[in-house]
Amino acid sequence: MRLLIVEDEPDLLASLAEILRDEGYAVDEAADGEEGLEKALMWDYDAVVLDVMLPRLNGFEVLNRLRTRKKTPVLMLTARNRPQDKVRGLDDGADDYLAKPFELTELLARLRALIRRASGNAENIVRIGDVVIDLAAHSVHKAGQPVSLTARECILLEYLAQHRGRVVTRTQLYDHLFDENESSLSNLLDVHVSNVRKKLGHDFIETRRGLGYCLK
Amino acid sequence: MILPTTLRWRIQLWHSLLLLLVLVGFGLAAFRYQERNILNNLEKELRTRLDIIHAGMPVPRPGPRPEGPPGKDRPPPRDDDGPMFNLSAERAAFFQEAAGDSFYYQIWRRRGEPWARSGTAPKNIPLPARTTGLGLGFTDRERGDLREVFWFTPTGDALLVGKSAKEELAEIQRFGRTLVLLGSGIFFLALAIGWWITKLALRPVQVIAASARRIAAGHLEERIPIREQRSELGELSGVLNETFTNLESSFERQARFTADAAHELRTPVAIILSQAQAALLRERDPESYQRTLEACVKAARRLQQLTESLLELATHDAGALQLQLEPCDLAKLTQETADLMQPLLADQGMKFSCQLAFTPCLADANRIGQIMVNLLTNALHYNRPQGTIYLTTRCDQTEVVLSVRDEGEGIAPEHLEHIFDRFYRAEASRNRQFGGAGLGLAICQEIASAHGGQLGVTSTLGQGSEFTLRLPAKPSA
Repeated sequence: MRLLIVEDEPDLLASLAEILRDEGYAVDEAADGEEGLEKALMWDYDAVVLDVMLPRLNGFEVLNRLRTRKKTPVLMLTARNRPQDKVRGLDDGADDYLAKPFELTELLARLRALIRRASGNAENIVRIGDVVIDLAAHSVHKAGQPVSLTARECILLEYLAQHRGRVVTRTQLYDHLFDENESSLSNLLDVHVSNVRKKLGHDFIETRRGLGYCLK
Repeated sequence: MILPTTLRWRIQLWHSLLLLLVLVGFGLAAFRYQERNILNNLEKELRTRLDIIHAGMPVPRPGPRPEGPPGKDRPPPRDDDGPMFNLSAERAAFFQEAAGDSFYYQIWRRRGEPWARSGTAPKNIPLPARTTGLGLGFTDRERGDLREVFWFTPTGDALLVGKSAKEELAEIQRFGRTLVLLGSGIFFLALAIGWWITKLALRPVQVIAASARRIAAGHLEERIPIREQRSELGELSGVLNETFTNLESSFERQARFTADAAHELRTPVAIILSQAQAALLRERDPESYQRTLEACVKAARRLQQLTESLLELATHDAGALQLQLEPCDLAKLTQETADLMQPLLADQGMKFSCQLAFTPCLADANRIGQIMVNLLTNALHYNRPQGTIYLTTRCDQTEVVLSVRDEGEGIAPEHLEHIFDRFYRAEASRNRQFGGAGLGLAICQEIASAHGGQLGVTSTLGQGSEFTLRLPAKPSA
């Protein structure tokens, strides 16, 4: 899952990015509205965290311009928590709204919900054979036993699970699993896929040669 | 919906009372006039007829008056009875005219014995009292419905003409009834018209009340629609609208200030929270904790600075600022501040250019120093690299002036008019790196006005800005 954070407070931006990276997300950062809009239009993010009070282009304008081109889920983050601000944000096409200061766990839960809804799933639990993937807890069980996965492996599995039955291309995986600083098409992806196969069984992830991967 | 305490009801009540008074007064006057008129006419007719009777009386014969039974219409001639009274037919016709047989007459001889009477006369007409003696005047008398006029002839006979006034009284009554009917008609019509007129006249008041109610309910943008600019209510509406506009903008300023303050306060709190929570998520290396703590301290400092600024503004707003006024020289203060900041300036490759004349004034040196630090810091931040900051002081009879001019980019006119507003930042991104919340100049302005002076700014894009502090000169005592 790849996220974009648009926030002009450098310290807040840094800590948010760190937290989300710890959660296994690939995170891109933008420090003002223009940069944010540019990146949001360039990449297919799974979600955008957008501050309202931004230099150059404020959050509402970024959202308006983004919505003319893309349906990327957007969570507005702002210190202005008057009802009319929330109404305006939601009316302008934001998918969720969170006031600063916020609880970290709430932000994470809202982001998970946004991403899940965007992929068309209503539930947090995905069952594939004897494997149970809990998207909320980031945990995977095989035959009732917990399987230890790294954050990145977990996100890979979740992305495939959310696109279950569909072929996911390597480019798609690169775009959604790695942020702008590490998106060289290395063999990092193959390493993660083979690690997941080792832990859950070789046939768990199918390889469609020349196309990508698929989860049945 | 409308209670009797409303203006409309009160106007209506007074209006009806007044109307009633006028109508009753006029009605009574008219009634009296008409009554008098009718009765006077009757009296006049009675007198005319009295004359007719008198003229028809035979000339009295001298000698003792005979006594005898009361005479009839045509009493039989008797020698000692004097000449017989005989009303000629034409006189009789004229006497009655077209009035039917309603007129009557009776004549008594000197001693009170009836002499002659008309056939229409009622029985038992009492002999009029001889009050006027042998006067020449007619006397009127009223007996029930009957109106009578009598007269004593010079020979001592009593002559009486009367008529039943039933018709006249009935006519007066009819007239009275008509008056009452007409009067109440006019009364109710006028009431209805009055009701309608007050409604028309008071409609603008209702419009004003409705608008005021909506405004009170929170629709601050609402205004009273004004139809007639120059009427009293139009004028009132205009004044009210102005008040509402002032109220609205004051509310807006307040709301904006609160929202801005909340925003500025929340952001550092959000940083501290998220940094600390991120650090607690898992074990980290010491450098990472160090970074987290540094970020937290930075945010806390920002909070501290902000709360102090807000507190200071609150002090100014409450008018509770205590100035420690003492004689001081603006030039000396400027020089001290400039010396303090010299190292910072040197780091940026900038320099001061001072033209400081002796400028005595009465001021709180600490507060004025605060303004100077603020102005010089701003000049430092916004000046072009290797630029010069020009410091000038001068004074005249009434005021001392400090001017701080930089050679930076200048400030756009649309920002310039808001530059002293609280939380106003010309460009968020640029100011953010200096950590300001946009309160510095607002506080400086408050300090200047607490001294009875003011802070001004002029700016030309591409050439730089000049901030001017004006304070009252020290009175030369």
